[in-house]
Amino acid sequence: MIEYRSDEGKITCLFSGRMDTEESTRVGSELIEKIKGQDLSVVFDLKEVDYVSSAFLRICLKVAREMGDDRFSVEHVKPTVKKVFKIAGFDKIMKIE
Amino acid sequence: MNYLNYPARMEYLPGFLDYIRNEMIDLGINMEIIFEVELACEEILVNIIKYAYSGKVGDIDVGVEYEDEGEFIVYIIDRGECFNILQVENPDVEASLDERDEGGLGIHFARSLMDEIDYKRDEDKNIVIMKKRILRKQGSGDNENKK
Repeated sequence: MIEYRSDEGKITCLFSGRMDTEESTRVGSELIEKIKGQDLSVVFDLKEVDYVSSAFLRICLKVAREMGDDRFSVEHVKPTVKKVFKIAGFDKIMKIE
Repeated sequence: MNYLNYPARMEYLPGFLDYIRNEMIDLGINMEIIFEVELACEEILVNIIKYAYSGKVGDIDVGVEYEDEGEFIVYIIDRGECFNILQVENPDVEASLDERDEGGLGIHFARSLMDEIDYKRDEDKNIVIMKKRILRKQGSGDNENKK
């Protein structure tokens, strides 16, 4: 599931539950459309997420490319999920906190 | 060993993963290991569902086995096109943001999260065998009453 919060040039995408292949595919294109061409920064808040698959990481990659690495960050990442970002080497190309 | 058999379609993915997860919970395997095995299995299953049968109807068998030496083994079998998972190249995880390839991440995850992955082609079958060394919580699972 995903909830959007807009605040002073920043949009926070609050995900919850399992961001598996099915759920990531379901929310992915809508999310990309929403932020495309917008002059703002994007935060993915993962404090309610305990499972991610490669489909979710592909969304992160698309958003990071769209926004540039200075206007995109992934926050409140749980240790098990962080391990997946590290295996993908995404900790070197985007802000993961 | 019993196998769970479902059609190779996305709507059956949760059923496969529930089965694998519940087997691990019954064995008292810790949640971190369960997460890693489940993710590895999801990636392999999604790959089969998307590509193995090229749009034709097909199915998948999933079986699990626990060895007393502490290995949890998952067998994933399809009868689609010959596909040796061991020959897939890992993505370049050092590449810059612009040069990152979107493909290949799933299989890279499976390889990284499992301790061992084997592949066999047996007649018309692709057989993927994934092994994970596990830590079990004290006093839980089916070995409780054994010596």
